[in-house]
Amino acid sequence: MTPEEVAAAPSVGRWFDSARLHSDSEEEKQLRYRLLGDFCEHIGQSPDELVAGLIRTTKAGETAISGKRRAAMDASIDEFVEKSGFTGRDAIVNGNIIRSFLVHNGIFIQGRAWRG
Amino acid sequence: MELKQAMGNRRSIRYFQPDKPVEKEKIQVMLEAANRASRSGNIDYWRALVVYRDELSPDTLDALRVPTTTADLDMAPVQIYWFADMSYADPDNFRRNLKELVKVGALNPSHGWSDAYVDENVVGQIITPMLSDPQVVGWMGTIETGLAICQAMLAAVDEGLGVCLHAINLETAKQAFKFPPPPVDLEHGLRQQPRHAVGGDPGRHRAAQSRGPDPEPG
Repeated sequence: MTPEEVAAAPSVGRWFDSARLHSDSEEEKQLRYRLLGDFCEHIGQSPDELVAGLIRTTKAGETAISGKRRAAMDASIDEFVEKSGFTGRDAIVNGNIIRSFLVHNGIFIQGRAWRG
Repeated sequence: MELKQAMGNRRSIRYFQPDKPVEKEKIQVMLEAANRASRSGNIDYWRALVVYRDELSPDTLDALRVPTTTADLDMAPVQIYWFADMSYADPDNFRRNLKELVKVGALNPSHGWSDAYVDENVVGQIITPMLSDPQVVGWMGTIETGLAICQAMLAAVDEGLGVCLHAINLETAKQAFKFPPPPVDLEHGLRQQPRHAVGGDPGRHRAAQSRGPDPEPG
């Protein structure tokens, strides 16, 4: 996905609104778009589909986060980061950028902590 | 005074120096300590009413007695009435406060929190079902209020005051103090938290009390 396509996704707009990323430098914004776009290609889904795929409907008709799919997504992020060649702190930071996209779309997923 | 020392020194005091007023600053410290208590959702769960014995008529003071508060009420210059404010149990209170905590970073995105998560999951799936159960609402209000009372009492000990937690005469207290009317479910709240702390400078019997085991709770 191109950065422009990523930026146009409603879920990405929601991420930028919620995390107040609009005031970031253009360079940082493009870094996020590219990173998320690369991850979307890795998974084979659009940003909106990533979010929607983690939501399930309960028997009572309510929406809930799928625990199994969230765990799988978490593992996919780690896999993507490793495949992309990020190591050390960069691996943590870039993985957390993708998790931030999910978090600000209502997916309760915990970021990794860099322990040095 | 160290925290553990205050905890160790706390006793259920039943003798107070009756003519020694309690400084308002010390009561303020107690209330602020209560206000700093842990509270889920950063919600206001409780109310406290500070009552000065000498501002009560003898009849009212007498009517406030219960079988476990006799001479204590005569001696203690101050009573603080605590009650759970059941109006806390509104999902919108939690929604507002949790989002405020997200905003200031206390509930951090790094841990998975976001406005969207509060709106779409926490309030709908956790808070609302929880608050639809009156038993849970009462239980939660009681615990949260108890935490506040505990901190207030320890702060009082730290200030050199003697304190004791007692049951109250609910009906008399309601009539005498004209507690705020609903939306607070006053009766429910008081039933959930029918206690008050009697405060004042511990009397000369305190030393004898503090040497022995902790008396039974009031």
